[in-house]
Amino acid sequence: MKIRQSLLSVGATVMACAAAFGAVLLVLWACGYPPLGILHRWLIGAVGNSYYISNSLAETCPLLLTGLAAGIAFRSGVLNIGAQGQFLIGAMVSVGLATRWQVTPAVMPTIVIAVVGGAVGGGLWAVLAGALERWRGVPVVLSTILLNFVAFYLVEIILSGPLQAHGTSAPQSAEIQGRYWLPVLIKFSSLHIGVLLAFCLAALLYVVNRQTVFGFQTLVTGLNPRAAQLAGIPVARQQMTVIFVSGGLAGLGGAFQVLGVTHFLIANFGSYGYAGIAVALLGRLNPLGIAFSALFFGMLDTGALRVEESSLGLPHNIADVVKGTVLLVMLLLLAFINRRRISPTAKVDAAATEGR
Amino acid sequence: MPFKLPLLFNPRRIAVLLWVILPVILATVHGKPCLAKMKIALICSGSVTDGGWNQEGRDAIERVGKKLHARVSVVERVSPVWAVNVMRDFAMRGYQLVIGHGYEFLVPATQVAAQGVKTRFAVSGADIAKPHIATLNFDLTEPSYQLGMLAAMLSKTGKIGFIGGEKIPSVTACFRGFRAGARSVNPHIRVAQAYTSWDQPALSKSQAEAFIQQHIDVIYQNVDAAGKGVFEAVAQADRRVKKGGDPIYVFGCNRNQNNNSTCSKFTPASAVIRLDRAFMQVALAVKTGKFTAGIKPENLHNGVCLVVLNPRLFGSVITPRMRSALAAAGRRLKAGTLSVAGH
Repeated sequence: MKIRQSLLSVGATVMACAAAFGAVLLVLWACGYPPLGILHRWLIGAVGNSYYISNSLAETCPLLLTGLAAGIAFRSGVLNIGAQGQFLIGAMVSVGLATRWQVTPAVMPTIVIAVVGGAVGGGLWAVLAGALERWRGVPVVLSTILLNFVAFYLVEIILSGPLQAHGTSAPQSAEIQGRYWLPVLIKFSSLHIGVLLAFCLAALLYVVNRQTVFGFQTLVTGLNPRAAQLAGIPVARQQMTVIFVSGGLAGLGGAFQVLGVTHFLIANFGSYGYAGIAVALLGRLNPLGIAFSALFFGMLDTGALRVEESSLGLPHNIADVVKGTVLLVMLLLLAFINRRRISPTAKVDAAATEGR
Repeated sequence: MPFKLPLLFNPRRIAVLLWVILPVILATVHGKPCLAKMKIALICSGSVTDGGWNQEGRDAIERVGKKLHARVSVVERVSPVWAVNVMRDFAMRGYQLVIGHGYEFLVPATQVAAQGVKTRFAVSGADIAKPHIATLNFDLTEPSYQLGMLAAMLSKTGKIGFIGGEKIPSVTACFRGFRAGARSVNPHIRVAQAYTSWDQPALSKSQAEAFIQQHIDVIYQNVDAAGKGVFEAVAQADRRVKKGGDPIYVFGCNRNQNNNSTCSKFTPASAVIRLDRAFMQVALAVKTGKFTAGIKPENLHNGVCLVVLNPRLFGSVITPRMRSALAAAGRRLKAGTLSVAGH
C-alpha cells in the first residue's frame, strides 16, 4: 500500500512536469513558435554535452539547498518563506569572510570558515523570525517575508560600505581571490564541490527524517503541535532548531554560490529563495524528491538560455512559465488523487453521520 | 554495339556536377574564414523592452550587426549569477565579441577572459579597468550638465529633481552633472534626488508624484523600464495644470525618449548614449585585430554621449536663448574651458 502511494505520488509529479511542458509548448506552437525546435534547443542547453550538464548541476545547487530549507521548515509546520533573505545573508557573510573579514590567510581554513560562516549567518537570520514569533507573537510567515526585504537592503548598504570593491562606486563586493574559490569538479565549468555536498545533504536529511528521533519529532510537530506537546516533545525548541537549520541550509546555498560560481556579490543576486519554495512543493517536502525537482528546475533554467539566444527570440523567462505551470498542474493532480483516495472513507463517514 | 557509359559516369554529367559541387566543397573546406560571419553577443541585465538602457543596447547591437553583416545574439535579464556560464558558453561557441551591458558583468567577464578563451569581452557602464576587458565608461555627466542648465531655465519654482534606478556610478554621475548645470544658471536652485528601482514603474511614479507635490517642476529620470511611471505622473500632473499655468517637465535618459507615447509634449530633452557608435568601435577593433583592453572613455568629446532636444518644443518651450546657451555650454565643455568638476 505504501509503495503504491509512493509510486502514485512520483507518477503524479512526473505527469505534472510532462503535462505542463506539453501545455507550454502547445501554447507556443499556437503563437507560431516551432515546439520541436524549442524542445531540441532546450534539451541541448540542459544536457547537450558535459559542459551543459555541469552547468545544469551547478544551477541545481542553490535551488536544492533553498528547496531543502523550505522543505524541512514546512514539514515541521514552520512557514519559513524567507529563504531568499537567508540566502543573501549567507552569501554576504561568506564573501566578507573570504575578502575583507578574513580570519586567516591559509586557504583551506578560509574556505571552511567562509562556508560555515555563510550557513551560520543564514541560520541566525532565520532565528530572528523564530524569536519574533516566540517572544512577540509575530507569525513566521509574515516576519520571514518582510525580513527578505530587510536582507536585500542591508546587503546593498554593506556592499556600498564595508564590503565595497576598491576603485568603484558600484554597490558590489571585491572579487574573491582564485585560491579561495571552491574547487571545481570539471575544468572550465561551474560544477564545484558544493554541488556534491548539497546532494549529500539531501541524502542525509532523508535519513534524518526517516531514521532519527529528531526527524520523527519534526514530523509530529508539523502534523499536530498540540499532540506533539502532549506527547512530551518540546515544540518551541524543536521549531527553533528547525528554523535555524532551515536558514542555515539557505545560507549555505548563498555561500556555495558566491564561493563556487560568481566569486563576488551584488544585491541583485538571483531569486533562488523564492524558487526554493516551488522546488520544495514539487518535491513533496521529501529531500530526495526535492533533489529531483531542483535538478529539473536547474535543467529548465540552463536549457532556456539556449532557447533565448537562438533565432527563436523567446526570452529565457519561459522557464519560469513552465515552473509555474508544473506547480499548478501538480496541485490539480494531487487534489484529484486525494479526492479519489478519501472518497470511500468520506462515504463511510457520511453514512455514519446519517445513522445508517 | 557501341559501349555506353552508365548514366552516372557520363563525362559531361560529371563535369557539370563538378562545376556545381566544387565551389561548394572548396568554400566548405578552404573558404570557411571568408564565409564565416562575425558573431557578437550582448548580455543585458534587464528587459530589452525597457525603453531605456537595455532596449537601446539591443537596438544598437542589431544596428552594428547589420552594418558588419555579423550574427548577433542577445540574452536579456541575465543575473550576475548566470553571467559566467552565459559568457563562457558564447566563448565556447566561437563568438568573437561578447558585450556585458552593465557594470555587474565586469567580474564575470574577467573570470571567463582569464580562462584563456579567444573571445574578446567588453563591458559597458563600468568604471574600472580589468585585465583582458574593454571597459566602456559612458559618462553622461556633461550632457546631464546641459540638462541641468535647461532645467534651471525652465523651472518656475526653483526646485528640480532627479530620480535614479540605483546608486551606481553611471547614475550618480548623471545627478552630479545635473546639479552642477542647474547651479551654474541659478546658484540658489534646490535639486532633490531619489533612487527607486529599474523595473517598478509604480514606485517611480509615486516618487515623481511626491516630487511634484513638493513643487518640483522639472524631473530628470534615469530609471529605464520604471521611467514609464515617471512619464505617467508628469502627464497626469500636466493634465491638472490649468490653462496658462506652469507645466511640469521631464527629461529622458540613455535613449532618446523625447517621443515617448505618454507625455512627449512635456519632454523637452534627453541625455542620450549613442551605444551603436561605442559598440561599433569595439566590434571594428575586434574584426581588424586591434582590440585593446582598458577603460574607453565614452563621452561628449567623442560624440557618444550627448543631449538631444525635442524639436517639436522649439519656440513654445525651448526658446532660442536656451538653445544658444546650451550650445555654448556644449562647445565650452568640449573645448575643456568648462568643467563639471569645477562646479
